Amino acid sequence: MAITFEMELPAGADLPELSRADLTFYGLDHSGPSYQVRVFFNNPGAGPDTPLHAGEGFAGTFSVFAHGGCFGDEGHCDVRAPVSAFDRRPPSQLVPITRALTVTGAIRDLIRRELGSVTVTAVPIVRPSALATADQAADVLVVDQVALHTFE
Amino acid sequence: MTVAALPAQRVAQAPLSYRKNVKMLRGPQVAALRSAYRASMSIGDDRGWQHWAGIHGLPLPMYCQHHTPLFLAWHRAYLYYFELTLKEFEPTVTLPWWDWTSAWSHRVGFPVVYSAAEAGGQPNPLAGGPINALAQQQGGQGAPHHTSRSPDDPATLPTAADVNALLALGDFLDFQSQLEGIHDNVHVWSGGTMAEIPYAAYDPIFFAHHCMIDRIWRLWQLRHPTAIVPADLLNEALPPFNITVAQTVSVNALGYDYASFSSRTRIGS
Repeated sequence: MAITFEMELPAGADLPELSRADLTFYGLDHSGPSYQVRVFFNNPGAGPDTPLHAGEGFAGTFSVFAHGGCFGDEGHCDVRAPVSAFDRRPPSQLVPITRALTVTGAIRDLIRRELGSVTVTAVPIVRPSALATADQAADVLVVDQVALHTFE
Repeated sequence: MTVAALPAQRVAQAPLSYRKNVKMLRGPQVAALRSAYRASMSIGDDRGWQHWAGIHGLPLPMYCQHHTPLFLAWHRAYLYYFELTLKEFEPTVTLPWWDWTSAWSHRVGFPVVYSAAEAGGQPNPLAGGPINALAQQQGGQGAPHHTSRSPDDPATLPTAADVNALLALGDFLDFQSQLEGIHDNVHVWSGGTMAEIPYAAYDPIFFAHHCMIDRIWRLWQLRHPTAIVPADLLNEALPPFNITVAQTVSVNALGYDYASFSSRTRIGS
């Protein structure tokens, strides 16, 4: 299911020129089927059929190559915590991930138009694969936080 | 001066192997690659294809490193060890790289060498293969028996501009994270078994895709010779391989490099 949220934009009279702007998704789940996320700005009605054009607010897309489910016994894919301060085992492979989408041009354009904020819509797409069907897109996008980072 | 007049070297320096652009492979090179894959696929023990494909995903444990700081190093080690097993069947073989940014890929998608159903009157081993029986069992009901592909529009593959933007990044972890994003895009673009971690490596195109990823890391290293892998990663082991991150940093130390095209003729006896 698509998620829509507001993000503050940099504003002010003396804004430096951006060299890069990243929309960073923190805490993305990757335990289920692989998926694609299409990001739109100021188009809260965007969905899977929305054309991928700047005129529709399309800002970019990223994919998550994911684990496709759990293939062990019950609890196999639970993200475990260290059992002691001396636990040197590597972290679980299913620790939620971070993914940055570079959206420099689109953010520059919004700032130029002196908009103070942007409505972001993230539309998950599940392409039919060996383990997935398109209707799994309804549950696949689980994210903890999204941040906009700009750099001079 | 003739070649024969050169002073003899008792121990020759081992020549590097060059991984080549799949589009530039000559007929005998393609035949040797297919021969090596056929031989690997005909062996059911831990020297063969099913074992090596299974290291990445199913059967458990899934050793692959995704979305971790070990992504590039682990996959470099995986390609290195798998390529050595192919050389046991065909000593001249190297894994080719699939340039999915090329105009040609943006027209046809997968390389024809990997997509033709038949080659020389036999099934093309590069077009896909069966899935390990234990992997099927652990995958449960609906687990695939054979690889499949369901590619998206070739025009949506990553572009040369995407790669050039990556190569400009100066920090290893930033570069690696962004490169893994492009890597994910190509897996999901491919669809079928390539789109899911548990079965992706059962498709030979997996290795051509990952050679392209490894090649981009190599290009980045050439572009940023002073940029280094963070020190706290260097001593990390890369199971199940007996190699550390530090030992993966130099492709030349692993005996290979990347070229568009390479051919070799033996002159001496």
